[in-house]
Amino acid sequence: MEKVVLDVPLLWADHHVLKVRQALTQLDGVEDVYASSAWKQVLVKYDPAKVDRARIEQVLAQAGYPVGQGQTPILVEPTEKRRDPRWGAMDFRMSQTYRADIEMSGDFRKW
Amino acid sequence: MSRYIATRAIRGANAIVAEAEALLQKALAEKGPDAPVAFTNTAYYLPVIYGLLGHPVSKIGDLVPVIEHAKSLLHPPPDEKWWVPYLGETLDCGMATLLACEAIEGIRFAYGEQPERYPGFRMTGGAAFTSPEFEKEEGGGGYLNGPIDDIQLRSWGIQLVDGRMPGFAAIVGAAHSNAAAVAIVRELQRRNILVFLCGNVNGRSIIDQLHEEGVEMGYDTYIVPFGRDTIAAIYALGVANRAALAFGGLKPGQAREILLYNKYRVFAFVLALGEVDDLKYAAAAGAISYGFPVIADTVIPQILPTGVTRYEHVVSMPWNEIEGATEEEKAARLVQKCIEVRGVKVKITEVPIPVPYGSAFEGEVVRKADMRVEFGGRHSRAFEYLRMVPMEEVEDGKIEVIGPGFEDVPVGGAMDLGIVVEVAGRKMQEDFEPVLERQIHYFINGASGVQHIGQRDIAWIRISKAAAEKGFNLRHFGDILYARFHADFGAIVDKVQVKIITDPALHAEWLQKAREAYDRRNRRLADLTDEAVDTFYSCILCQSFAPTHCCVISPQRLGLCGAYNWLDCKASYEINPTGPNQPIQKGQCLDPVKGYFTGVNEYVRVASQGKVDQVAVYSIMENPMTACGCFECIVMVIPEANGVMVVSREDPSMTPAGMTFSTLAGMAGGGLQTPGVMGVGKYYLTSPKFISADGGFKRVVWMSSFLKQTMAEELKKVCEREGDPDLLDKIADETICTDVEGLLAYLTEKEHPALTMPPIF
Repeated sequence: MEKVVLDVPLLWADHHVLKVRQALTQLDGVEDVYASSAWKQVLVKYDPAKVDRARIEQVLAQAGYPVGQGQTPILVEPTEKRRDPRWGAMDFRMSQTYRADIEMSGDFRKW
Repeated sequence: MSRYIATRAIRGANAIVAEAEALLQKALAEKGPDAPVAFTNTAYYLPVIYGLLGHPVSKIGDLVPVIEHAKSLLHPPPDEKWWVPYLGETLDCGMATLLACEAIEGIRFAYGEQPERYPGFRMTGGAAFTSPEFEKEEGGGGYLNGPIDDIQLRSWGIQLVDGRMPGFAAIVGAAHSNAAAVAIVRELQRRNILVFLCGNVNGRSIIDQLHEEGVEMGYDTYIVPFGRDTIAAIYALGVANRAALAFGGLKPGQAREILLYNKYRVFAFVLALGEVDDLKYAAAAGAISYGFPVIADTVIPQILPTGVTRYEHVVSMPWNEIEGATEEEKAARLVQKCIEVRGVKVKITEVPIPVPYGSAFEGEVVRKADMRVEFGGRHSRAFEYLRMVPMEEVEDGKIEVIGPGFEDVPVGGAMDLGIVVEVAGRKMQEDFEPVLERQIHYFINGASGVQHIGQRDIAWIRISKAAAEKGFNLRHFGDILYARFHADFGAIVDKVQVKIITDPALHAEWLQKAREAYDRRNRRLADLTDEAVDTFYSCILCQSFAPTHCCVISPQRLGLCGAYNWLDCKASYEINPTGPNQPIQKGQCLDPVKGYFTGVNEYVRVASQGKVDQVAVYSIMENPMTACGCFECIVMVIPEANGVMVVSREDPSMTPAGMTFSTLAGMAGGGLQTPGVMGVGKYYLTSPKFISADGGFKRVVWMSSFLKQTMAEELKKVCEREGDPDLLDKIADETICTDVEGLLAYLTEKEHPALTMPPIF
């Protein structure tokens, strides 16, 4: 029995875990799988007589989770002008408490 | 604010919005922009999107601006070096996550991938109640619940507002062990907290754990499995949004108000079990915007200052570090922490019986195969009788079992049973006897493994094998009743004693006495008319949810939830003089036909905070009574038929008004006074005062078949009283027609009296 820990950057949520497990557990020779979306890693215990690491990686890639490739998609990246380009969409960054919130404070009965 | 949490939540939000966008592009290409998108049985479209953005999504193309909006809320993850405040950015990303998750679930519905397939799973009570299309597997089941429909939400309404259901817990992930999963859920059930399940850790969900341990899941047991991934957690926030729209009188698009409503009215929290990934952090940020804190059973950074939530935002309570020798003790401490962090007000009565006890067990069904013994039903007779006796005749706490126990009855057998409760109290009145007696049903049903149906001399009680094995016996009925009557009605009941009678001779004797009392009460109740009293009662229980709604309850018009009649309110006022049921002096009668009273108008004006000026108690056309959202039926005028239709909450079908119950409920609820539409309790249909100003029961031209079947006897009597014994057959239902043309043809064929009555307008 051998075990291997693989980095899978696209494994960032538990619905991906279900897909990764489904792909790997159907593979003959795979004895156990621990897929962690928190650490974006997959631990596979397998029988080297039946399956090898390359085949495991191939199955993962076919399922859309290539080992060591890709990264969590980030739609908003810092620009040269601004660290957070969303701030540019605002006239100014509000640092004061919203007036209605002050009026509301303590007055939860209204709601 | 924790930079670690902010980073992961913002990263998760970016990822899920990107995934939602990709999925949307795929759906647009494969199914086209006009392919329908809808959750099961709801008038609130995709409720989070509808509530927060005011955007009714009904087809795939409608999701395009939603995803654009979600993208506009995204921010880049915090910089490694430059730390700036990022609470607002994280919360924005949380909201973007919720929009994306709901869009994904909507698209999954369009592809038929929701509710999630789960072979071998069956909801307690069946999901067929409202969603028959999902009962595809032989024998029903095969699917998780998916989103909660409006009908169930409204039927929980009264329990949410009267405190029987203090809040809800969204559990995400999987527990440390199966035993821990069961223990956590049992702890929540014991407190009557609604439990929503979703998410997984390494492919194992708490749903799998409970399923393996044989825990019954379904609406009846307050445990609702949404789906095995975190995206399904959006259904919990769908409930929160709809609570604000259905009960709070808020309008779609009032995002800020909806969030504040939830912070102060809906006591919910997230319990994250097992490792927490980027999406779970992102979804948690969304939940925090609603004021719902997150408690994790693993080591994660905490956010302890108060602010967006009322107390702590994120609390870590690692399972291995919780004190306790058993999983049960650890679970109790974890749940206790959740309750403290959210500030849930829980009232539990300790009942000394060997099985778990709580309202969450009320809906449990004991099937014949699981039954140890039954009392009543087809093979035996069971009755329950509560009477007031002088103080000196009651020995408080005395519980007698008179006759043999069920030990000698063969497994699955039946025996006669009588439950006689004798109460005494300085403030007790004979009028309260039936009110208290009716509670026996709820009290006994609260025991796990015990099923109670019916009342009076048609009671039917079953004890399961599991409960009997744990040592549950007849005496425990007495223990339950003694504990609950003191806890719930301590203000009017000073002493309680209980006789459990199985001795045949004594059983017959007490049954006779009970029947005489039932007759006496029936006659007394029949004499109780609106004219015979000078006081009505208000019910503003639901103002915790619907701030401008006020029920006016008279002897001939019970509350629209069906749970409170005039006597209940009278008793409630005695128990709690400053409570939600206040006496309303009728005052001067301004119009006896429409039911205008000066006292009622004055009271309602104040209680509705000026929103309602006057109420015609007997009319649907002129200043009808408002409704909160928990009504059992909706009455609505069908102008073409010169009559009204009555739609039951249990009826998911189309009505001649062109709307289903769920859609109609939006018009009738939220404390609105809408002429022509009214929410009512179903037994109001049998009252002589039912829309008496507009022609009474003869105006009913269409009625859900559920009502026709379940209230056949009562409605038959009403028809005879109205002088038309065949009237019920002349009333159409959804099996006959669901459009106005069909309705008119049927009414004409049957010569329904409404067609010849004066115009309703």
